[in-house]
Order: sequence, then C-alpha cells, then structure tokens
Amino acid sequence: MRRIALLGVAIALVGVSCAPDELDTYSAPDADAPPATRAPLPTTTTTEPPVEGIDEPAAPEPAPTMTFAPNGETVDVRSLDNSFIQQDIEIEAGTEVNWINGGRNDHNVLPVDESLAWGIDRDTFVPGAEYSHVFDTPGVYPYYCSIHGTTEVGMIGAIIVTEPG
Amino acid sequence: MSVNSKVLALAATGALVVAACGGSSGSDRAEVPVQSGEIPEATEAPEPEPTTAETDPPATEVADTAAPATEPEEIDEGGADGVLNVPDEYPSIQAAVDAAVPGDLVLIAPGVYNEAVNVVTDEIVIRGLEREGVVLDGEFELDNGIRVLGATGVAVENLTTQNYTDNGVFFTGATGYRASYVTAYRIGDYGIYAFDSVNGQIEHSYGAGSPDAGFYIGQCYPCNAVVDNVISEHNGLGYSGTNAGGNLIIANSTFNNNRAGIVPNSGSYELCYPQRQNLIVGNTVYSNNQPDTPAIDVALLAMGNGVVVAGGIGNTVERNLIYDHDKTGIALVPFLEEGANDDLPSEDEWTTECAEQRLEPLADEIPEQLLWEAFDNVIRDNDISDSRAVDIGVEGVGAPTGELRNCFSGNTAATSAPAELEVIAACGAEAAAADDPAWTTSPLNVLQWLVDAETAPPSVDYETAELPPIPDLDDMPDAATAPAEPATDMPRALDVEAIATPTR
Repeated sequence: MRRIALLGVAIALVGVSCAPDELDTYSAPDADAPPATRAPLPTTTTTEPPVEGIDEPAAPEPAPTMTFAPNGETVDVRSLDNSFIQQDIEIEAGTEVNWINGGRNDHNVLPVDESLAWGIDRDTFVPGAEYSHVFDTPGVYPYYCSIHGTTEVGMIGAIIVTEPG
Repeated sequence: MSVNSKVLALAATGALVVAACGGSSGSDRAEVPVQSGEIPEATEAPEPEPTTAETDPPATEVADTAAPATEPEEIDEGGADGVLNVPDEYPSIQAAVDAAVPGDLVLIAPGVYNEAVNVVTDEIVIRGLEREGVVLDGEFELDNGIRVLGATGVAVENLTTQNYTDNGVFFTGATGYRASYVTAYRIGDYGIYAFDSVNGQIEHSYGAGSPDAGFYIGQCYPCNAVVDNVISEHNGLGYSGTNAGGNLIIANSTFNNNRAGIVPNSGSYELCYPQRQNLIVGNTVYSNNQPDTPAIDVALLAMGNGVVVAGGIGNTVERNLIYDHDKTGIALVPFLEEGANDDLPSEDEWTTECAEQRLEPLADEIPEQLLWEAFDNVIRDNDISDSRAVDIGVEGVGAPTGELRNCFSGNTAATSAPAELEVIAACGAEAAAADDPAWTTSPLNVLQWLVDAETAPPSVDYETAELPPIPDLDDMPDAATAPAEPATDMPRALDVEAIATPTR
C-alpha cells in the first residue's frame, strides 16, 4: 500500500475547469487554516457519471471525460470521531480510497456533489466498517459526514484526483 | 469490525477497556428569514411578515402557544432590537438563527419545536423563555437539537431538548461556547456534547437517558472549559471525556444512577490523545450501577464505578462525595483500545497541544491494539464509601502498578487496592519501589471487569428506556429580560479552593 502525502487543510484551486489537465493547479498546504473548515474548492470538477434520474443543468460543451483503469493502489482514510484523517489527500486516477470507521460512533461519507454515486450512509458505516471507491476520473471530490458536519465545516474531507503521471 | 465483535475481541484478549465514548451561513441579518438546515418541511412555509402572533401562526409545530412574556408591541423588522422572537417574528428557531447577527438574542416562546437547528453565526444567544416549556423534540428522527458548527461564542440557554437520534446540544469546532439551564432527555448519543471546542462552560444543566454520556467533552487540549452544577443520571456514562483536558474542571455536579459516573479516557479514535489534566472536584457521585439504562459497550464495561480514569494522565480527583457502587468509588485503570488508529504517543509528547498534534500524520504501521495506562493522577481528600469491591483502586496491566506514579492521600475510604495504597503511594512522598510486594497485595483484578461485562444487563433502547421524569429544575433567572451574553469570555472563573466536599 502506498501512502499519499497529505496536502494540508487548505487547497486553493486556481482553475475550476473540468478539464483534467488543469487539476494540478493547487497551492501548497496552509497549516494555519482552521482544520475543520473547508477552504475554497471548485464547485465541481468531477466528470464521473451522474446518478441516474438527476437532471444536470445546461452546460457548455463538456471537455472529454478521461478515465483511468484501477491501478491496484489503495489509500486509507480513517474516519475518526469526528475527523477524516487525512482530511485531504491527493491520489492518481485509478486509485482506490478506503474509508475505515475507526471511531466509536456512526459516520457517513457523502460527496458534496449530490449527483455523484459514491458514498456510504450511517446505517452501514458503523464503527469498524470499511468502504472503498476507485476514483477513475481526475477531479476534486469534496465530501463530508452529515452527522458531524456540513459540506463546509466540521467533519469534512476532499479527494484530489490527478492524472497518472 | 462491529461493536459486538469488538467486545468479543476485548474479551478474547483478556484486557481492560473502559471508554466512552451541519448548516447555513450568514453574517448579516437577512431582511427576511432564510430557511436552512434540517428543518421539518413545515418550516419552509412562506416567509412571514413581521406581525402579531395572532395573524402569523408559526410554521413550526408549537403545541403550547402561550405567548412569550416579552411579546413585542410593535415590530417593524424582526430582530431590529437585537431580539429575534420565535415564533412571533420568525416561524422557526432555525429561521431566527439564520437571520441573527453577532450579539443577537434568539428568544423562543414556550412550545414544542420539531427542529434540528444548525448554527454557524458567531456570538449569538439562543434562549428559551421557559426551560421546561420550550421543548425541541426530534421525535426520534432528527439528529441534533442544536448543532453549533465552527461558530464562536454561541450560547444556548433555558430550554429542553429531547428525543434526538444523536445529541441534544452539540458544539463542534467552537472557540467559546456555553450551555446554561439546558435539559437533554432521551438522546441517542450524548446529551450535551462539546467536541473539538475550547473555552467553554456547561452549567446548570441536566442530562438523562443517553446510551453514551449525559455530558461529553472530547478532543481538546487545553480545553479551558468548566462543567459546573449539572445533573447527569440514567445514562450509560454520567460524564465522558475522551482526549479532553487541560484546564478542564468538572465541579459541583451530581452523577447518579448511570452505569458509570465520571469516565475520562484516552483513545486514538479521536485526535489529541492522550486524555490529560482534568480537575474533578466537589461532585456527588453515587449509585452508578443502574441496570436498565441505554448503554454503549464501554458503559457496560465500566458499570458499577463512580469515577474511572481509563488511561488518563495527570488528572486530579479531590473533595468528591462518592458512595454506593458495585465495584469501586474511584479507579485508575488502563484502557485497551481495539482497532487502533495510531500508535501510542511517547511520554515527551504528552504536553503537545491539540492544535499541533492534530496536524501530525498517523503512524505508518498502526498496531491492532493500544494499551493506555493511567499515569500521574492525584486522588486526594475524597469521601468514598459503600463500594462492594474497593473504595479506591489502581492497577496497571501493561506496566507494573508501582511505575505509574499515581498518588493517593487524605481520602476517607475503608478499602483500597492495593491494600495499603495511601502508604505506598502517598502524594508528596516517595512511592514504594515498583517491585515492592505491597503493590500486589489485594489487587484490583481489573481484568475481571471484562468477564463481568459479558453478563451485565444489556443496553436498553434509548427510545423506550424507563427514565425518571425530568425533575423540577431551575429556570434561568430573568430569561425574558436578561441581555444576551454571548460566550465570549468562557469559562467563568471558578474558585476551586472554596469548593468543599459535599455531604449526604
């Protein structure tokens, strides 16, 4: 298992385009930022297929979706009471993220972009449970636990998926 | 691993475990109430025109529509005077909270409010006009009565929360917080819960019927917080405080008829370990053997104890009245954590503040278990009686008991484990050598607790557990007229030296 370096708590994104080749435009970590408050992230840079039945707003011609096959790498995120550790991680597309509920309380993992189909609810993500998802498309995927935070504050995290390279 | 399997794993390893264990924004007052948060659909009613109660029925269900004592005569704009009245001016608590600006008072008339209120605005005060009459009721569907997310200086006063699936009042990431004259009754996790929050005060409050703890402070060091004059009964744990300490005082309170009374502990399932430096003083702790409460697994393990320091460091327990416990009045014991998330901090890391420790990466290799020993605690001048095992006990599992540097002096106690505890480990004196046989005379035998937990009366569903009725509790003085006091200068000063040991 390869551990991916912590990006830090604050990620200032320069570009908000969906184009995968612009996803490496993040600043360095800002250790002084409040640890449980989300710094500005793009509203969406994800190009994963939306959940069936969800209407997408009209948008300009989308950039071509670029997906990558699973690469066999797994990165763990510990869901403690009440923090995701590490809060923000950077991975290459094709990497699996494995959330481990290492806390004593129920948690959930919900993408901020509700049109995305990954995540796990509290009934399943009980203490000791694990949940994995392969991120095959470059983008920024903020998420949160709705029990112990909101999309912006409290128990929050982000997966920053870059092109393999 | 499920909770049950964790318990089984604990039993299999034969070691001790005792532990406990969203929103809107708006810095400027909206011209009209803004709906947000997890509010029942009724709160999405059309925005109210500021008017009288008679012509503007509250969107939130209000069973008791008694008019507030300070009914405004004329209102041009809700909250223009810094007081936002619910439901007269705002149909829901959430609407008023969203419209409030720092310094405002959200004043709630008697009634039942089926809301889960999220607070993200700094320095507002949320107050009920009547503690018993203003009821936030989650109806076993909503998660938190009031959840304060990252906002500084928020105070919650003089109201009741009941029937929530998670917490009655929940502060998280707050710098400056206060809960005063708050009742939390029949709650799914914690009654009043301050997590990752500092500079706080919880006072004159009541918690009953939570499977975890009636009162809980977690993940802070230094916490700079005071729990003062609270009553906690019929919970899994009266007070629980994982990894919380540093100028954290629990005083003048009553913890009775829980499974276990006061239980600070260390664990890597929250950040900022180990647990450190609580002052537990002047409390009355009795009959914490209650068999019919809701209870998490660790409450079952800790059952029958008054004060249990489980893997905590540098705590002081003094001048408490403690009696009627099936096991111990006060116990210093290790905490075996299954399913660890990090390795143990070294002793030179025990002074690391939370703000720094939380930024450190987890260990590359994480052991399956951690054994947190209780070091450097001071137990003195307590009045302890009627304990069926021993009044005071200490035991190490991973380290010899005599190497843990805990001390005991001036306690009124009939029994202890080891037997001559105040002789071999008196405060201010050199302790007996770790290999002195006196350390193993009449040992606590804490591993037996694991066996006992297997046969402990099981948890009772918090929704149906038999609870005493809410007692007659003090209201906040002058709730209708007292000015808003945001929690900007917490905790209040407490004259610790003036606190005497309670008497029966």
